[in-house]
Amino acid sequence: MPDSNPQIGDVYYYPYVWNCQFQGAVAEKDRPCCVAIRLQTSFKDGCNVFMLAISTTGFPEGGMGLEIPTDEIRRISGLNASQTHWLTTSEDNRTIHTSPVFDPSEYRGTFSNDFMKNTVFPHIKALVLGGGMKEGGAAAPSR
Amino acid sequence: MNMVCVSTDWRVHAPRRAVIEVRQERVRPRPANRAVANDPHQKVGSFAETAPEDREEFVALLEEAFAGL
Repeated sequence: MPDSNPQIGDVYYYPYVWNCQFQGAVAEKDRPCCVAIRLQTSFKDGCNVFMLAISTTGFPEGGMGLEIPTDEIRRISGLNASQTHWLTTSEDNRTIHTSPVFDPSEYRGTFSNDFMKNTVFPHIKALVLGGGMKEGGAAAPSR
Repeated sequence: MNMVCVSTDWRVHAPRRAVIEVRQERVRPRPANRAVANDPHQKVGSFAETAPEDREEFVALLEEAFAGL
């Protein structure tokens, strides 16, 4: 059920900050973002919620992303299933589950467990294990 | 009113109507004039930039999280 406790697959309108924006930047706008990971315990930087941006314009140049199946788009209110939507996986926003931005009024739907478990999870795992685009580059605080 | 004869008795005939499937979409309007609310806990990161020494621990946490789905 939608509430203020984000779970894997939930989509919220979220003030996403892109990696290409300068450090300390604020979000240009709220955009639909998927809770890709909700850890039971926080990771080293204190974050336990990892958000991925959803867009219709693809992912940033040089980045990576997943095309979201139409059936999954239909699960999210406010998204047009006739358009191709992308989940940017090469970058993310990290936060904590008690953040005030996870308001029930911002909840838009939830991707299926099947999509999250069989498509998103292996992709993220491969990025973590095979990454190394920048050695030791931990999450940079944006503000 | 339609009447039908059932076992020599006239009864009101009320044909069953087809069940109409009603789907209520849960759409909540966004609050009016809502400014972009910044997330005070937000950090920008990248899975591919996970420090090599943290990868195993992070993947274990990931597997634990997705096992619950």
